[in-house]
Amino acid sequence: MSAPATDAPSTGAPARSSRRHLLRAALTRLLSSLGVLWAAVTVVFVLSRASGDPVAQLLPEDADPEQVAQMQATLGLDRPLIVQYLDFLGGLVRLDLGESLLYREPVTALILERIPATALLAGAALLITVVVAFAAGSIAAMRRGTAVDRTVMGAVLVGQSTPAFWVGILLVLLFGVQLRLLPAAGYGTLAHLVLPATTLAIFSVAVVARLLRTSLIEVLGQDHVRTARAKGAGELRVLTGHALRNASMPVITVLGLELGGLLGGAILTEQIFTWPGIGRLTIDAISFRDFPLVQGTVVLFAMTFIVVNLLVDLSYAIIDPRVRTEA
Amino acid sequence: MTAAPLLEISDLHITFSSRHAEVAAVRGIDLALEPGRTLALVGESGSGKSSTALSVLRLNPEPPATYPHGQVRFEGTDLLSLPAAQLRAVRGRDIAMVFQDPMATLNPLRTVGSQLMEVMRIHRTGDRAERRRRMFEALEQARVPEPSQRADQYPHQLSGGLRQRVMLAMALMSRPRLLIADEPTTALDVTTQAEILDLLRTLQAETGMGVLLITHDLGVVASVADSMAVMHDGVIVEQGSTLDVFERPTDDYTRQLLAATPRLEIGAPA
Amino acid sequence: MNATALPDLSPARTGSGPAGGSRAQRSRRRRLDLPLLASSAFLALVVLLALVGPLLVDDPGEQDLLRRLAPPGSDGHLLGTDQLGRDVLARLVVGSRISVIVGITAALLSGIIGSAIGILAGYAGGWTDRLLMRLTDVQLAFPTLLLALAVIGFVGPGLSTVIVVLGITGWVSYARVLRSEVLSLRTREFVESAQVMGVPAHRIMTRHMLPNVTGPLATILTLQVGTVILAEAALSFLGLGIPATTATWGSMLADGQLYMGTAWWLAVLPGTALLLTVLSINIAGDAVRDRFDPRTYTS
Repeated sequence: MSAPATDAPSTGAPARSSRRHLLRAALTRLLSSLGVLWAAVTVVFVLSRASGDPVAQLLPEDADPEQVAQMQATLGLDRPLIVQYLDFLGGLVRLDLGESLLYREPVTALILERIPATALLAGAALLITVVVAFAAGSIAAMRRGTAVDRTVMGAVLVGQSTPAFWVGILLVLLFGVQLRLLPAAGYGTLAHLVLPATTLAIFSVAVVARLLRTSLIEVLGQDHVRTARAKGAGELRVLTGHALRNASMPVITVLGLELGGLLGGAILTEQIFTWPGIGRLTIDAISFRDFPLVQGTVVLFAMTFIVVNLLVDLSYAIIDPRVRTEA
Repeated sequence: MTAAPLLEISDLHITFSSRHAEVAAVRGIDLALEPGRTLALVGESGSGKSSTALSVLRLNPEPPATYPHGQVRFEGTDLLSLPAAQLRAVRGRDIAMVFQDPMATLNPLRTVGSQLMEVMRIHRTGDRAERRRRMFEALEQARVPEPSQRADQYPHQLSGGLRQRVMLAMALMSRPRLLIADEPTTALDVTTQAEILDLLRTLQAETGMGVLLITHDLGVVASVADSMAVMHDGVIVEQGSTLDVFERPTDDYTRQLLAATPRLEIGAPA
Repeated sequence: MNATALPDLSPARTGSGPAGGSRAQRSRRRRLDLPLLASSAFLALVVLLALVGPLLVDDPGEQDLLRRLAPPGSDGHLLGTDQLGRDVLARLVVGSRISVIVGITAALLSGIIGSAIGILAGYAGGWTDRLLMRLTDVQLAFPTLLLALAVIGFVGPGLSTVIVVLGITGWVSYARVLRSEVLSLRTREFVESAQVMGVPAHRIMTRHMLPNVTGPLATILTLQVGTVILAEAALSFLGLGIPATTATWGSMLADGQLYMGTAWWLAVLPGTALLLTVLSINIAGDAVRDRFDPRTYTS
């Protein structure tokens, strides 16, 4: 990006057109996301229909043909594929995802019931990730090459390589059984949240910390950081006022993706800690071959991801003024 | 009646050590700058002139860079052996620095104004109102047109020449007694160069600060420098008043440099 | 000169940094990289165990209810026995075989699919590229574990299912990296010369571009193996992966969870095996990346 080297006065982008530009970009992004969403739900539809006959898995092998037919009718599987597909899409728009075979309740209701618990878990894990990873990454970058750096990054690497569910079990053993400090399972108080959120956050902390360290090291070597030092700024001001903001951009993208990873990881974590969220619901649904419920939960996950990624993209405009004011 | 030197560099050595090699970038140089004068440090890239300039404020990155020998005395105090906190007090306040490429040396994510006022925030001078006032003062001193508009703009919204003026304004914020300019005009086109050099001369006259100017361009030296030092491969090969060195160079390398500079003379043989 | 050095720990981009020393000045003093050495040795051990281990140990399925839950060091059982009296060491060894097979196969599968897509997208450009990138977004909308669970939920558990699912879902990283490599290579001279000479597109892609992307490819492949191993373990842990009749590290962990208080080794040992294996893979992967792309070397 080469700027004119002359001293010709630049008028600067008039506010109105840059806002319009931003709106148009946002709209394009939104439409693109809708397209991806449509493709995703179609994939779910195809998967559920194409990967074997659901009825065959629900009923025993020697089931009566009548029973089979009846089951198919109940699930709506006897209709032509196109009709099923349109019905499926229509249901999505109406937020009607069918009825769960296991619970005999509307899938939508079941999902809505559990969302808060998972949201809480993922949110807490994200918070832990941001705090711990930023601290670790910053320390490692500022003290690059020293024993501190190697230790912090070593710990981070171990965290990334550990199966999260194993750590969960160990944490339960340590804090729940031996020390009796925190509850081993269940839901309700802040204390219940600590272990599951920490377990869930471990992998994310590792990924974000590494990325931040790399990004920070690069930014710390840039000329404008040297200028800040030339003005007399101390290390903390250099970090918070100059380096972090510039270094955060790739990290923000990853945070968005990590939220997705957290949601995926929640599936496991909820199982270990018997956390009453969507993850456990999904596992139960899969274990019991609850066809409509599996469909519903998978669609929900996909939707959440897409929305999160959209928000991440849009947040760029807020952070980087160059994006905002490009006429 | 010569004033005590503002900046005095004695037997400075700078070495860059990495895993693979050790390079002696500066191998014992002596420089002196009087208050209110301009000293130009000239040389090709790799001569060690930028490292020298950065060493005044200890801005060379320290794991590779070491200072095995020598002193850099500012108003009598050796900056190289100052504790970190005191050195930070000198930076940006008593000594200010401008660099070559203002697009890279200004923070792209912060407004011009906030970066200017940051100087005072760092040194805890004045309250918010005073900072704003001083900022506009500095912008006007640097002859930045429409300063109130500029203050809220981002670096990428300004032209190259304007950005360099902003950098100068930033340097002037705390009324430094010494300004170090590392290739301040190299990234600009010729007309803008002339304007910035003009500005530099004016500023020096107005503020009485000393200027250490790093450049590879002899034209720049001729424009603004009272005295000059020619640096080559880590040592100074020639020093003296600009006039003397240009007219009566004593060193071979200096002569080569001078000969390499194209001169415009009507009717002279090519 | 004993001033407090300000901790500016990164190379500044000054015009006159250290004047490039001649080759003679650069004495290559390479410190022995201990972590890398240890990791490579460990990985070699794991692969060896996976290959020949099962031949050397006792039958992992052999139950001995009289000697159940024996701690490590017990007579005849170096690492103890589980709740059915089965030898833990034997089960670990057999489990290593599963991990190695699934890990490498699935990673290779993703690699092939992802590379193909990436190269195609980068080389063809235009609509093809945009479409394939949208495909990436769609793939990323599903967390790997979820997708694997969903497919297994619809199809049923099994070794080949697990490999295929994990193999198919992991293509994105490869595609992205290869696409950007191809995009930057596409305008390089040697490609343009080949085009001018009339070399067909597919040959350009394989003969000319592929050799240049082996570096990033190798890195992703290595790291992906680790990811897959963890994913497979997770699936087995949930009981929705490879059927529990085969000993896998994940299912061993699931069993171990139940006996945490009394027989700690049942959970700790397979977990440690997983940790050490994946850790070694990550260390090796980082080394591969540093070897092939010194620009990303940030130590």
